[in-house]
Amino acid sequence: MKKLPDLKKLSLNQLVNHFADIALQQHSELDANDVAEVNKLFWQLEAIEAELKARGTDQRDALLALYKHPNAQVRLKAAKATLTVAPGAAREMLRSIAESTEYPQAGEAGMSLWNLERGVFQPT
Amino acid sequence: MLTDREREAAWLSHQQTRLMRPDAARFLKPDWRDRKYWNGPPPPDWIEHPLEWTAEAQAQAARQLISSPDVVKAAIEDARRDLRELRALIHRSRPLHLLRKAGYDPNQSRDERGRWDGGGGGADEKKPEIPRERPTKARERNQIIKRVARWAARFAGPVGLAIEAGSWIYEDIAAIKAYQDAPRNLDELHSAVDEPRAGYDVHHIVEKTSAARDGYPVDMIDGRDNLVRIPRLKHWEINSWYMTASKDFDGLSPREYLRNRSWSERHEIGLRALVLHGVLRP
Repeated sequence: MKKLPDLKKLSLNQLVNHFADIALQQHSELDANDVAEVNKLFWQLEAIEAELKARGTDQRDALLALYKHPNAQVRLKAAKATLTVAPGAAREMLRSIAESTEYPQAGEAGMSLWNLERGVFQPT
Repeated sequence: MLTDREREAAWLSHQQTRLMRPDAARFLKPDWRDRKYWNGPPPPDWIEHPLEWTAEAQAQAARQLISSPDVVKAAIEDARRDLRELRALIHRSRPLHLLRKAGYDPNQSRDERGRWDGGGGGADEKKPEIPRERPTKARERNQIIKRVARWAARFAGPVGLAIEAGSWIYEDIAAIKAYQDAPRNLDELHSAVDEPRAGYDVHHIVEKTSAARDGYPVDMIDGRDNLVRIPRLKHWEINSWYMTASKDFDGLSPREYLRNRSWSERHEIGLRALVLHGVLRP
């Protein structure tokens, strides 16, 4: 796993690309059954999201571009990161992944929708 | 003790012959022996001495079936498996439509990790590459096995299409095939626990270790109501989900979130995980 560069120095596009790359690495580590690595990468995604949120007006909507990414893990992480800035589109994306047979992402997307419904998951 | 590969070969041989008529030799051309394509082993008895599929032969076959309950049971199980495979096939025919709804273009070209590569692309996802040599590291083998299983489940149907004969991955073909199972109802998953099968694991609906740590009694944890037999790769996926940090729970993993929570909440989430991972029929 690569160390994240100084996020404050990165452009919006670079942050979005880093986000996609990290989600792809997560996919690969999930396939390898290396959950410890998946969790480290989770915190890197959180750091990028926090940086986008902290930039003047919330810039997390830049992650909406990843909704068209062919990899389900990237789409899933982008959807969960944009639930506050684009709730309708993000939920629709989660529904679409949950109804697909792209496992394990379909499982996580379905669980997130259920957690949103029952108020356990409250995106900020 | 049979190895996985021998068990697989026996299964395959049974599949090849179980739907063959006893008088199949009638359909071979008389010159079959001289044909160039015959490179196989010596012909089986049924070619040299074909059995006429007469009324008497049919009655004899029926008597044989009735006198062997195990054979009848196996035949019923085979028919059920065929039905499940058909259902899985129907289930698999849905994703492209749903993905298109999400703005996903299946014709867009991508590399093995799913990244766009800017090319034209074809209609189907690329077949995962299986190295000739067995990777020495388990993580690499797991990655390949899961990719093949997913690819076979989504695009290829019969796993044989994805795997070269003699490949090291045959060790795991039972798990890859089991991954294609259609969702089943809870009773089926419970009762399958009594019939261990290659490629499947016994799974605890309420996680075993964390429940034990929180003081739940063993007879609840290992009780029949808490055990299901599920495809091994699904078992891995669900276990990983339990251990992975999630935004849903403020950065906790589901396992951490469930610590000190009630049995019924754990059970509800455990069942939900089975449904959402395509193991349990909703």
